[in-house]
Amino acid sequence: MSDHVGKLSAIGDLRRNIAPARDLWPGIASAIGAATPTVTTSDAQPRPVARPRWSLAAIHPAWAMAAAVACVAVGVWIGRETLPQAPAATSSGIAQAVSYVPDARFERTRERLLRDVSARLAELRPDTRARVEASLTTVQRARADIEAALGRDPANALLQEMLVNSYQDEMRLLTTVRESWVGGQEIGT
Amino acid sequence: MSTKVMRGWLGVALAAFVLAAPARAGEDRDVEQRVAAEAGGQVNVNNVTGSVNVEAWDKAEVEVTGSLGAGVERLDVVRDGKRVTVKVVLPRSRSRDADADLLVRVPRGSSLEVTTVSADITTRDVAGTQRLKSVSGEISSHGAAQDSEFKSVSGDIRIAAAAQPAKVIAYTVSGNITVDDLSGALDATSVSGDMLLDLGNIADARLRSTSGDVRLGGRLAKDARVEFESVSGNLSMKVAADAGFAAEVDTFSGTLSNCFGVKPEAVSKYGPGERMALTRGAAGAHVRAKTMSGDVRICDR
Repeated sequence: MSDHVGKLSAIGDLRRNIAPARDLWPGIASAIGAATPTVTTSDAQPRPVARPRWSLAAIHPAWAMAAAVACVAVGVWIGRETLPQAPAATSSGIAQAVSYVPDARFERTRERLLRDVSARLAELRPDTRARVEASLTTVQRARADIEAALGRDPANALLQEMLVNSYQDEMRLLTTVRESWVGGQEIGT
Repeated sequence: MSTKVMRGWLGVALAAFVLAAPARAGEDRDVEQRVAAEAGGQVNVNNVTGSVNVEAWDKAEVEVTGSLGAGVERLDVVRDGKRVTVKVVLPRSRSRDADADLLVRVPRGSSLEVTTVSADITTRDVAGTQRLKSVSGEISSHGAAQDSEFKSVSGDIRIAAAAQPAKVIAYTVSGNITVDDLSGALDATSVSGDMLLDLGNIADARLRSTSGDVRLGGRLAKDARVEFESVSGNLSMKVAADAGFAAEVDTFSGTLSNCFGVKPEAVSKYGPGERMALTRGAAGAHVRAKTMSGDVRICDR
């Protein structure tokens, strides 16, 4: 112990302004210069920003929808990873309120589809319209049931997978109805 | 004859003429048109209401026969290269009798695309790919041999006797799906409709429903894969599998059962959920089923 204290004391006594045996900076500077592309006079002019060949407006709705569904899946996965691992069921029967909030873009796409479809439903025959509305209700009720079940068992992987799939089911239903209507209008005129 | 009487008779005649006019305009008219077509070409048929029947034949031409309602403007049958388009054209202002009942004969190897609103679609022995879509019409296909896609919003879908292994995609929102003797691959989805599936020698089946029930029968090929998922729909499976099969089933609150005496196990000691794993024979085929509240029962033939 006494030796150790002695060494520390000796280090503290060392000179702090010892110059290196040779100057290393020129070598470092040349190495940096070699790694940086040479800038010519013409290149020094501000370049126009290269625009991507696509824009948000040009994205096909199907791709946007796929991306949105993927966002929901990621969101659910994150939710699954971050949610506290609650016991599967409480003895008191109190269910935890669980709700996975979809990505904002997904919600916008879904809202737009719902508006389109509700407008299109008016064009369908009453019996067809009633069946489609009943199916839409079925899908939405199924999702509510899954969410309620998840409230009782938030860590249940089967339910989480089904919740994501229920969003896909709804989107597929909505796009099918919309496409069919569009097709129906186009084919007769 | 007095002027008064003459005026009376004239009025009666005029009224008779006016009353008879809709009857004359309301008469259906028969159509028959033919165009040359390539043996492996594309045939598109568009109709709104009525029916579309497509039959394959061994001639290199497309023939369209049938009747058009009084509200139909005209029937176009146009060839453009390898594509023949059959289109029932309606006036901008829709009239009531817009039905068109068509029998379309196409070269056997044609690829077919039919789109309707409420018209039923029937195809028979078309060997090329088929894409049949309807809003509320019933879709029926017999003898599909290549990849085919059937989509309906509220109409039923019936698929029978695919002669060769074919990949079939069937989607309906509220209609039922009936499959009889299909080999190859099937991807069937229904939201609230039921599925009654008798598969000939299936290699790959993916079945999804939200609330519709599924009855699955037939024969599983060696290495076949069957996947089923439903929220509240039930699955009843009774299949033959020469190479045996292994099944793995999960449910959150449904009931699992089988004909082999295998008892389902609880997924968790504290929570809901059951799992059932069973093996028959050499486990050559694989079955995977998941439900939230739907029941699953698995048996063999």
